[in-house]
Amino acid sequence: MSRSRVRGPNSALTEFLRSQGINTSALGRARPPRSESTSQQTDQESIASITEAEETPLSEESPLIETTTVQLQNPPRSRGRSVKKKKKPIEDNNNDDDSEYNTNTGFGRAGFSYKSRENAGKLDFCVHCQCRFTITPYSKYSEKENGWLCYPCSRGVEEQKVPEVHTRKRRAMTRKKAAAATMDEELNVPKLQDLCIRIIAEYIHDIEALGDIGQINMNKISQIISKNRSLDDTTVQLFLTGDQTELKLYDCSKLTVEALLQIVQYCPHLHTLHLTYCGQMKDEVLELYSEKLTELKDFSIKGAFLVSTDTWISFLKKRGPQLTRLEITDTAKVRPPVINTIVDYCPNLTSLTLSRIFYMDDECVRLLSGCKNLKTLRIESPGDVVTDGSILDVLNQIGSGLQTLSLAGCCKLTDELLRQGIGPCCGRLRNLDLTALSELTDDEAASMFGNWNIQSGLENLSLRRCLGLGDRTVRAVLVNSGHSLSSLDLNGLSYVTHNSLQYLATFPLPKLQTLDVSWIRDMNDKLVCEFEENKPTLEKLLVWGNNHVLMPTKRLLLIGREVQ
Amino acid sequence: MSEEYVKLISSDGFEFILRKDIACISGTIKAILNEGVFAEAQKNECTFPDIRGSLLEKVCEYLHYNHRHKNQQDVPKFDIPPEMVLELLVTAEYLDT
Repeated sequence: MSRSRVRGPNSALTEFLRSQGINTSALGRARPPRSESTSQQTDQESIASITEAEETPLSEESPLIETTTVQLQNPPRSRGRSVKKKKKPIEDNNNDDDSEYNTNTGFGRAGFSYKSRENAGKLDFCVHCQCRFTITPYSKYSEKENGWLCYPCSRGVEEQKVPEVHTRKRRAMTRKKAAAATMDEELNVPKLQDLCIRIIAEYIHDIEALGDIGQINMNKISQIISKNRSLDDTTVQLFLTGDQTELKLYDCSKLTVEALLQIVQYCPHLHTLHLTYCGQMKDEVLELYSEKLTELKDFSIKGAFLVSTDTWISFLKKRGPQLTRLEITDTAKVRPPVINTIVDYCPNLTSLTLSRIFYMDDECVRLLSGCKNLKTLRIESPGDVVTDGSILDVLNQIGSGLQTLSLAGCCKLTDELLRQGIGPCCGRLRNLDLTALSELTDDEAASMFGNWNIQSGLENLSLRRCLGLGDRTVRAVLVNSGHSLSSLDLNGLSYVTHNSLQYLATFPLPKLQTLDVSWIRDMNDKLVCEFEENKPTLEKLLVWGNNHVLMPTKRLLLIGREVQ
Repeated sequence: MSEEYVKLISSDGFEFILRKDIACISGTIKAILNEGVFAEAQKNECTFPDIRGSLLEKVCEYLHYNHRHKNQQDVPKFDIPPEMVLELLVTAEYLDT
């Protein structure tokens, strides 16, 4: 349909423009001075574009400005002069939208400038350092020097522009950052490898392949990406290189069934497979694993709640004999038949961890006494009631071989466990975790540690939130294992008094590296100083909830201080 | 105490001269230069036939950044252009830095 020739009344300006043959339909609000950059282009281009504008009044460019420019400009013109001339017509035409876009700060979407959108891809010379570069939508235009800046120069400008506003909010932010840094233990200059890994994690979606970077760095990248929740079907491809023997993915929540299947298809030679939060894993995935992972030794699956009991059983029957380490957490489908299969079909198992298993009860635990070769046993936070009897059965059978025992979260266990289980049976124990066993009493624990005939002494002991324990236990622990302890956790033991803390400070603990005295009311600055002086190997001291600890330390890493 | 200088040579012939104590922040370079028997130790020169000039330059920049901000609390960010980050990671791992 051709345009109607009937037109209504118009303003004088519109009439004038039309008479000049200028089309204003392409002019939007966001019309930056394209002519400014035109001046930066080679004169050839600028002449060409201007002639274009003359010939095609309906062009998309800002003909308003260019047409007026044509009247003023004669080729070739020096840069400085032409820019000045062009600034005048801009002001004359009251294009005050420009001023909004002159205050670019930052890169990214905030730094996106309409000014440079049209010029993206053009080669230009940086007005600051005279180097040749390509203008991108993120390039900065410098008002002072009237020209485009290359990437390094615009970074310099940006840093100068950000003003140091010392408001309360800013101070709080810097304090928060310092606290976060302390928590993450990033106090010194980070290594170049770690800096690279951080940047890789940021740009993970742009990377096609990781290349030959070694297993340790790959693991670090996997950890950071999982923390950022960037691990999904596309990014997981980076970790599947084919010949690797170890794969640890710390957050598989976004991985679909296809991706989980692909893991095995690409890496059939895995010895070690650790998958955390793999909620999307279904039966078919585990079935494929049982078929393909012929060299699997170390298997850790956390959070695969969809996998059915039968599939667990068939997996364990096929792959059980070669497994040395097995960890299953967070599932309601592991019941006594599965445990039975573990015992029957995994004779070479040296490490077994069953955490947060919904139907874990006495019956299940009792079955475990059949795993004769276990060195590490962890039964943590069982879903059902686990009492002393079954644990004692297990310890009586296999306790003497255990080096690591964790009964964290088995809240119904009582002193009987200590008296008849750990004390008499576990002579080779090195790591003991009794977190949250609140029914244990001080006297009993003290006497157990006192009479315990332990071979080499405990290295890691956690009595976290064993609320009944107090001074006597602490002393007994020190006497028993002080010479070998490297990590001691007394978090939450509010009955511990100043006396035993003093004793702790002066007792020789040659290997102690980490100490947690959080929520012990009697902890104060003086004791912290004594720890710092008397314990040369101590590196980390946790003091959450200790409101009498106020001063910072010189050498120690102090985490949890209220005042930062 | 005289300050010794060492020379690091890249695969494409670029030579970087820096102080020995700063260069030895890198474990590999330290091992090469401190082993008295090696020719490198005697001439105080290290050639890296696998490392390009641009990467070696970034490594030298990092070594100085590390030396300057050792034991400081609020260290400024060390900028790495994303294009070279993967190769830099491999190089950094090789140089134990």
